[in-house]
Amino acid sequence: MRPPHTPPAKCRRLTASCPSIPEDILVTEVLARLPVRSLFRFRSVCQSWRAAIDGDPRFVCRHLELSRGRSPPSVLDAPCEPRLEDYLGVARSKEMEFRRIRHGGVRHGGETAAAVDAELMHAVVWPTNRFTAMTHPVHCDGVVLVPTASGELFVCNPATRVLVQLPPGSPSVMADAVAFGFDPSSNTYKVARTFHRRFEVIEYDSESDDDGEGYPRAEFDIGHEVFTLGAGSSDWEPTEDPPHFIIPTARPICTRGAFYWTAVVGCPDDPRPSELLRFCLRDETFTVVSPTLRASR
Amino acid sequence: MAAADSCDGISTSGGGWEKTVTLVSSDDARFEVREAAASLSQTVRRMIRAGGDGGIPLPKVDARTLSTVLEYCNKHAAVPAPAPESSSAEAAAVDLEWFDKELMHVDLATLCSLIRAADYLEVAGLLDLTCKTVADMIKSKTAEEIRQMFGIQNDFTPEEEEQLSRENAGVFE
Repeated sequence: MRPPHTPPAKCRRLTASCPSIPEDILVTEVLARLPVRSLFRFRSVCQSWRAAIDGDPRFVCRHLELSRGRSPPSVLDAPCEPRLEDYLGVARSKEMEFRRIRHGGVRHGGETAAAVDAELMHAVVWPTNRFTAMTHPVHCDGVVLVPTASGELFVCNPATRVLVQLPPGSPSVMADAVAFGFDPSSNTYKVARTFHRRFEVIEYDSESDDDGEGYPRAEFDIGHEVFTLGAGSSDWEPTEDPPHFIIPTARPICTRGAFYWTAVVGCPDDPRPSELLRFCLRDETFTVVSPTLRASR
Repeated sequence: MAAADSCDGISTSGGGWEKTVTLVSSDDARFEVREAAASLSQTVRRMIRAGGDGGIPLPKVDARTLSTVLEYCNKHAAVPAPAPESSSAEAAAVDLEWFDKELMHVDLATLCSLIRAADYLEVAGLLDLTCKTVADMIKSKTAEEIRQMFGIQNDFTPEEEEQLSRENAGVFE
């Protein structure tokens, strides 16, 4: 049941006879059904509307819930246009585009368009050539985390066109893996990244090998840290170190409440099968997923 | 939308005996309604369970609003449950959709009264329908039009207004 109705505290009404909706219903049932475009305009109606749209958690949850049920579903694509090339031949761009892909779009005149209609939602333009084609965006609830090859992390909400750069994490001697997801226990969105304090490939000495088959051994020291979005804190919080080497090129699986990293036991070139590491967002600990749950390699 | 019209005939229609309850509006109008229809309101359902006689008082809803709410309840409770995906199920859904659309052809003040009533009476379907209607009604309006519609005073300082227009500038053009 809803709490007892209270009239909007800050919106003074000009006359008593004007139509009014109890504020909790206005926020969770009416405003939550509006498209982002209207919400941007309605932030200017009065203080209480702006407060609700900007940060009322009831509104945020309900808006997400209602937009999930809406059809047709759309997907986000963030292609990077390779306009400029640096000396390594890595394509870099100032721009990044988000498109909403709709299937079976019907164009004006009743003519059915190509199977897919890609509507441009937002083009991100950054002053420097930062976005590289090597980035693998990770998304959650419509918010996209864009890592760049040079290690910077951007969080973009294409619907509101907000783009923020996260503060730099701990220094790393090699490319990092990043994950992004929702933590229901704290009701926050979290970014996780790995970083390497040390990484060296050691030439293998075959004489000391009992198996007789040698492979180069890597020595590493891997760390892991978490950044909570909008929590007031503006820094990365270290977690316990991952128990194994997390493969930076394998994309993590981000679920509600946990990230799953692909890791190898021992060292990167170890022929032993890879492990799945579960990082729990609530208590920020790692567990190795039982091998019986994994497909054999 | 006379109160009597929407409720008379209900208890006698369908040929069979149906249990009815009496609801009393804030302005003392009495409505005799099938229990199945009245039970779409969770508030009324609880009051029926609690028992008592002399009608169920609903002091927060006036007769005019209550008659519309009951029109909705009667229609939605009357829908039989035919086999899913049958043609009659589809026809019933289309009929219901048309009914809902017609019921929502009212002014904003009436809609707001219906929202308050649907919330108090806990008629989930009607709350959903009315809020969706208001959202569709206002989504293309400007902030000033919204203030006029709901009689809201602009309580921003000139500095805040300036900041808002800066924030919104160029975002959606």
